[in-house]
Amino acid sequence: MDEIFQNLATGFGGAFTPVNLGLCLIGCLLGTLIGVLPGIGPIATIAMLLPITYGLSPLGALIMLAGIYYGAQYGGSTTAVLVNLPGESSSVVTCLDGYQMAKKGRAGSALTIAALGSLFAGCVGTLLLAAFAPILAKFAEQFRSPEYFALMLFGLIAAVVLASGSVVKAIAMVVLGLLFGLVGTDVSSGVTRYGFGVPELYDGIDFVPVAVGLFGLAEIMSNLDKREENRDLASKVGSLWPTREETRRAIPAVLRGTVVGSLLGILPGGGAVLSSFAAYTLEKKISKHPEEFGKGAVEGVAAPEAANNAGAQTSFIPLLTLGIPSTPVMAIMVGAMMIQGIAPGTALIKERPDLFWGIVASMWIGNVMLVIINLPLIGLWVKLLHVPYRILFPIILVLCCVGTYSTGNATTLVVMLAIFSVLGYVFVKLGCETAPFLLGFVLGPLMEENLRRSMVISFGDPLIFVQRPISATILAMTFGLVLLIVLPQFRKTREVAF
Amino acid sequence: MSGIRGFRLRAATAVTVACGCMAALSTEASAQQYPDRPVKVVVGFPAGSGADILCRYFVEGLAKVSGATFVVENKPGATGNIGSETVARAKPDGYTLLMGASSNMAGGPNLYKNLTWHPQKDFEVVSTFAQLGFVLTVAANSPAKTVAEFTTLMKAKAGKSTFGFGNTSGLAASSLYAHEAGFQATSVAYKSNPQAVSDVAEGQIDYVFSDALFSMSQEKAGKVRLLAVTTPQRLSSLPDLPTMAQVGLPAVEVAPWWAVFAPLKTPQEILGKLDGWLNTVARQPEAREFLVKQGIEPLPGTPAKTREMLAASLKDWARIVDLAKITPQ
Repeated sequence: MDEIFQNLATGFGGAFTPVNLGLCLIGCLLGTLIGVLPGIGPIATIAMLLPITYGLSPLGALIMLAGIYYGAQYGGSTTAVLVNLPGESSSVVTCLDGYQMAKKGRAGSALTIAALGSLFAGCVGTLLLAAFAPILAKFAEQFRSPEYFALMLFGLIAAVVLASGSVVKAIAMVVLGLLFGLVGTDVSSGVTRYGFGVPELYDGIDFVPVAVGLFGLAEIMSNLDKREENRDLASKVGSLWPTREETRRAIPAVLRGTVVGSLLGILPGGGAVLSSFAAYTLEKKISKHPEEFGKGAVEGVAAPEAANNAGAQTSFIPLLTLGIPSTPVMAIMVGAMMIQGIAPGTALIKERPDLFWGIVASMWIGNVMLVIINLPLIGLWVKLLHVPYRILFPIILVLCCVGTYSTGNATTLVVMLAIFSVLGYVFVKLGCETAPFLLGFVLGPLMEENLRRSMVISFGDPLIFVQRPISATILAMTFGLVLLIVLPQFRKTREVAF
Repeated sequence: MSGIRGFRLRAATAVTVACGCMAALSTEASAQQYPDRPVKVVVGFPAGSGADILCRYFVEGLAKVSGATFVVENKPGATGNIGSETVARAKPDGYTLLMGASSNMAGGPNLYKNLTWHPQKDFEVVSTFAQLGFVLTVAANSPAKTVAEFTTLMKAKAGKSTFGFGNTSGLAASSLYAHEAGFQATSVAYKSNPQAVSDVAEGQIDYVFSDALFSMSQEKAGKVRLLAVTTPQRLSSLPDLPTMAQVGLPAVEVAPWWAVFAPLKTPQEILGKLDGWLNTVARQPEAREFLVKQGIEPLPGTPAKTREMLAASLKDWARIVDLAKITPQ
């Protein structure tokens, strides 16, 4: 224990210089900004800023880039709550209940809970990173293709539990998501599927137009259906602070979300996306009021927000300890480190303790900064809701188009955005939920890739999935989940619940 | 009357000639003033990818050397095809350029049946600027310390060898190696080379030909062992690592390069200016230092040499596609 504090002291010593504090602030501000703008993600931003970091000290450069990354996690939840637009893939779940809270006039409360929950989760994630990084990394290392396949399968089955309403519709949406996920070049054989000769489809359908179209623009369209006075939009602005009841419900949810997010965050690939979905499913499962989920449950905002922030911190563990980038953002961080002449990997903690602990300390500082930046801003963000819809809608529409275009500098992306907006509108009309669709769309290709890779490695022997202990455990849990859905007693309670 | 007509005719001729001269002058002048507005450099790979980081470094260098503004535009998709297509169709005025990888410029025509562009028919060549190597990477606990020992090990597995690849160049190198060394191996596909390297370290698969950058960092961490590199010369960053040719497999040469291309009919003066600037950047000591850290070699060149390399790479890729049994899409 003493050692940790000594190490953290070294870290804070490095991070608490005026220059590094300033870089941390710049990173956090930029991150918040791009998180708020739909479609403009941290990947493109960090890539564009890389050349600027050549002239900085290695620690300063990494502090700023890391600040952008977790700043974006914060900012993404703001638009999710206020206008149902997921700024980042991790804030998709926040849309579900955050936006409903905003409709009830609790936008300020939702944003405050998200900010404070994220702060707590971020601090815990940072402590975990400080205390257990090498041990956690060993655990993550055991996750190979068979384990990933099992995990993705678990996620998809959980998606059915996650949905409210008809089980059949939920399954149909997952399958539909899987189908859309199939578009593009097959990783194993190089064959193009459902490409229709359009080169832009060779790499599959981009996530941004799908998420922005299905959630944000579809919502706007279904609102335009209604007469102006009936539009159920987040126009009421209540107190900015959570009530005592809301706080009482949020605290345990934040704790659980932090645990889920920290664990899934350390898994390279897919873990970060899963963490907020998993936290949401867990809350719904154990809640005394499952019927409130999807209608503005406080837990539905607190847990996923905590989970995605904890995951954002712990996803640095495989990078800093193993040199394995777990997400595309982390892959760019490897690039940034190599440019500075630092090889990420097991040797980093021993060779450059100042750097390792400096980054860890800066994450904690960054989290505090983000809350300081964001809490006063909440009042300002909520005021946006007073803007008349005839002005707000076109602005959102333009921002979404610009953001989507800029992810690949292609008009095809904007066309896809239009198609998915219409599709989302149809889903709303049919009473189908979008979240299971999105989970199928994201997890499907990963699941297929890992299934096929496992089968090639085992030379076609399916036993590879049960011979490995971690994979076997996850598959057993998945089987349990299937039983829960199928068994009659459960079906009954589910019907009552939803 | 005739005098007036004659005058008119002469005047008209004079005006036409003058206009012609001015037009000629203005092309010359515009080439001389080039660039008087920002130049767009298209990169066919996503922002933040290894390719993007490399290109941005050179674009930054071009801007510094020329004093003009150069902007990167990422047009990712279809292994670079979308970016190349955009530039092939762009106005040949020198304000739209392409940073093209040999894997796309030479690989593309062999890997795709219906490409709307051709590297030799639709582009002017400026010059190469960088060359990459692929490193034969095996698990750190493998009993094999040399390529020869590793080949014996693979032969002993009698068809049960596996290799990973994260891109077509990696697939090419691995297939070539198995073919030349004379053993059977099954390919395992990955989205990127780092994933494949970490599966090699964990003993899931036998070997991978990965970008030097990632293999180097994993070797430092004691996870993997590096046996040889596929470039014609040794890498400056790994001076002790032999080339495949030096271990007796000269046919396993995969040395992807990067070059700047411009749309066909871009004025020669502009191409010349760009060639000069690009070579200045590629010859700077700090550029060498930056690249070598990442296992990349600077490759200054000339238009003629680049055209030769392109032709040779096109032939190489045809052979690789045939050997690795890839069906063009």
